[in-house]
Amino acid sequence: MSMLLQTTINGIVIGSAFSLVALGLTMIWGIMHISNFAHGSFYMIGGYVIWTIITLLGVDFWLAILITAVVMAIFGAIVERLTFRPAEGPFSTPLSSLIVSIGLIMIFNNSVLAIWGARPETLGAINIQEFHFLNVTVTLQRVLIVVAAVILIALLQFFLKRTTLGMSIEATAQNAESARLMGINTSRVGSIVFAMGVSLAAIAAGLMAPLTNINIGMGDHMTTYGFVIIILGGMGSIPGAIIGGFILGLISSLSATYLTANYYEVIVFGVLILILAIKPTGLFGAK
Amino acid sequence: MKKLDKGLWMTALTLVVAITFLAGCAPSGGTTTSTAEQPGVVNIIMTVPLSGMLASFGQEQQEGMQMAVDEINAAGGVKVAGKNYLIKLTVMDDEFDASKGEDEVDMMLEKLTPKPVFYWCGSDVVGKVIMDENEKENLIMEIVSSDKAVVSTGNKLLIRLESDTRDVAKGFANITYDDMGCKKAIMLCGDDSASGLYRDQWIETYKSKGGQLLDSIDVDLFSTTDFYPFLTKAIAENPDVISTFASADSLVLMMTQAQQLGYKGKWVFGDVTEVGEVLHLIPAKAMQTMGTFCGVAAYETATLPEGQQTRFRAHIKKFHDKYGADKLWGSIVTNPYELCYAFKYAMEKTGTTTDAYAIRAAMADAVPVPEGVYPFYKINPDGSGEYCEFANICTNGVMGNSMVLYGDPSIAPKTSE
Amino acid sequence: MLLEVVNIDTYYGDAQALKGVSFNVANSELVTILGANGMGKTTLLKTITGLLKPKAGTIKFYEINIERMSTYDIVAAGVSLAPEGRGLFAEMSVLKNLLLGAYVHRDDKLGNKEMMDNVFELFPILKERQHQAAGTLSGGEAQMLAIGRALMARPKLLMLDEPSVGLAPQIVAHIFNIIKDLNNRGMTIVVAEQNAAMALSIAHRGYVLETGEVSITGEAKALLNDDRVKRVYIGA
Repeated sequence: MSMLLQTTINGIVIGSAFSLVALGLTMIWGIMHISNFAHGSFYMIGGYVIWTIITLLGVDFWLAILITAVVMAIFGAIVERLTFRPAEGPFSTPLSSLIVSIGLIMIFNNSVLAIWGARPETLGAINIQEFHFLNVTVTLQRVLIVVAAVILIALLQFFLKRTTLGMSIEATAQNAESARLMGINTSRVGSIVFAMGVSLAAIAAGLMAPLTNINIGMGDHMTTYGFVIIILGGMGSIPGAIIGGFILGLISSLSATYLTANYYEVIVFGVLILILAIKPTGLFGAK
Repeated sequence: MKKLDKGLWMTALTLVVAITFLAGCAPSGGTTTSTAEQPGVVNIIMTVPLSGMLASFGQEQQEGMQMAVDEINAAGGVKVAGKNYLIKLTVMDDEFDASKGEDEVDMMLEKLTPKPVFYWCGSDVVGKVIMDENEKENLIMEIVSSDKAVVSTGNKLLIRLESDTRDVAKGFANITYDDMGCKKAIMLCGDDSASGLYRDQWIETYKSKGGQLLDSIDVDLFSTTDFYPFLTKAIAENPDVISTFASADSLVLMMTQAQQLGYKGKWVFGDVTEVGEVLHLIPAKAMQTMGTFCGVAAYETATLPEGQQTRFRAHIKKFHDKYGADKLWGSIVTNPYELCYAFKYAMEKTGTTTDAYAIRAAMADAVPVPEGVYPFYKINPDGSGEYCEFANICTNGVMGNSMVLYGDPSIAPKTSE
Repeated sequence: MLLEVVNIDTYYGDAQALKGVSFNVANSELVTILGANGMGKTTLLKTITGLLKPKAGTIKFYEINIERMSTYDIVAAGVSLAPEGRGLFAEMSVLKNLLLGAYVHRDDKLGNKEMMDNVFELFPILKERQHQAAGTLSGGEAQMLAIGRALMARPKLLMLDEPSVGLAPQIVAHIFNIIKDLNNRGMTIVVAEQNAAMALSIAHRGYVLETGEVSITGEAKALLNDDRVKRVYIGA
């Protein structure tokens, strides 16, 4: 019983990170129709950025998260402007953004290697106070990951539903041409959404950083799982990304504990195929 | 039709731009050391992974080799038949890709003059391809591989210095059962092939001693987002010991998190982790409650013949002065360093810089080299290296005595320096 | 002239959709563009609003060249289009659709409130349905919302692309009454239509587009009596 509870809590913690990563991915797809295969690389860079800020500047963890979020948003906007946007010009094909994102993965990986070197970095002990109840262990950082993710998701909902800028983003997602006819600068909306998506991925990496090490490979799973989540939840759907993120977190945790850690990716993809067989557009996908 | 062409053109352009960027950002491929005056040149070529997950592994090999080359050249180079030769080292990134590495070696053999006779191959996937042609090419080749089967081919120019993972695994399984007294174990290791070699041998030896294997869990330890799910499962099975094969960074995180989840058992590391490195990464306060763990002993901590300890310290300092104090010092660095010296002495002894067969034969006699620091070291006739490795058991931060993990410490050269 | 389109060529890829089209609208005029499907009506409206860029020719709005301007600048300058197929934000409420219509005036909350009251007065049904998702509206209501949303931008030139399509005759009549009424109050309007009889009955002038070219142009009354127009578009 306590193992089930522990496993469920483990899943919610990972699910929080998955949700934040998938949110950015689904928004970028929904608004810009870009399959951003470099999303995991942005996650990785986010990890290195927060490590650098904390290690070099000695800044408090939460302030470091905030700085990382801002720095990565600016970085994302610049990357979008310099790579994806030109590739969307008059000669673009559906392949253009795919090639851009694959090129970015190579550039990012090698740049990270050149700047931070190949050895993994660790943040060390942050918020390691432990809480024990019902034979279950939770550390403060794990609680804070979930709390921070829930707050971010709520803020994002508020931003999209209640502010003019948020509404213009939603309008662009639903009908880009009409959005233009309302006087919305949709390429600016694209930049903003891309910046937000990158920032969310970086925040997720920052939140998880105290639990794991920061290395070149840390984003690889995130890209794969991010796409599994948004396909499972419905491409472009925000509730789909949130729910899908937590579902995948729970699946990966439960299967690692109860079935087999060795093949839990098989189970993840098995569930994806099952859901798509029942509802081909994903849980929250449009008809 | 026209539209499609434009699309393709754009696609190609994007690729070119991406690759140009990439080339700009990648670590430089070729490194040249010497500024030759009149002396002759001896080329050493090297392919190692310098990008991707194995980049640090390749970088350390490059640094070990570079240090020897720089020292030799600074001391006047190699003296063969009254003439001085400087060593020129060319290193390329094989990206851990067999065909890429093969192309690079072919290119270097064709372009470099004089033709290289010594090649350091840092990835066994590349080496297994080149192994078929190095004799034909008059090329001495060291292959970094944990699989001792590669030297069973009778290739006369092949050297394989690495210790065999399976020998280490046997040693650790013995220590786990005999010295640490652990009867119920869980194996938690990476899902790559090198980990698999270690895991299978460890389990076989452990079971043959009467140990009970509760579970074997493979995890992509390098890029996993969180260790809790695997640890929750492992700890619920209530083992005496968790046997691992993982980098020190991942291990320390796992050990800390297992402790949070209430684990009080012991840990055994594979030979990818040195005890000293783990101690270095665990915060001092946490150390007192960290329990018992066992891993390969670093040179500094192993019980070594008299005089060696000080030699090591001096040597590590030299290395740290050159490459930075946070660099790890282990066989990955020392093997290329010492083999480069062996190559130098072999050329001087045989009086040739071109006859690979003669040089290769003399290299075995040149070992151990006086500059060397790894004492229990010898090249067998089949090309395999011989070591003795130590393990240390550490309890709550206190290091115990070294014990022999595998090999025979009596083959150590008597040195009084 | 409020709007002056001169010799416009517009392409979809390699296919030329408009061939030297010239077209103008005076202040307070109601002009209709007639033509069957695929003749270039929608292309012309998209070119004026900057959604498509012409390869040649000029477009002047209040004597300023707008043919190279971005859509958002053109909309801000006072050109508003209720697009073909309404182009509503289906998953958003009627209210949010209207608010987005006023996007270019997003900082003028008071003015928008006033404008919204005007729209609700014009289309009372939208007020009733304001919290409903736009996707759940009937065809007539959706068209009213499209027009209402275009009005929220407080345009100097209102353009409607096929407002009658898919609607029952009495609803079409109702909507055209409102269009005429808006024009009577001084709004300059361009209506692209297949329903030539209905459009010409309220318009001052008309243009007929055939395979991307203006084939006939003139006063609405003259066009109503033109044999070619009658034969092809009115079916008399």
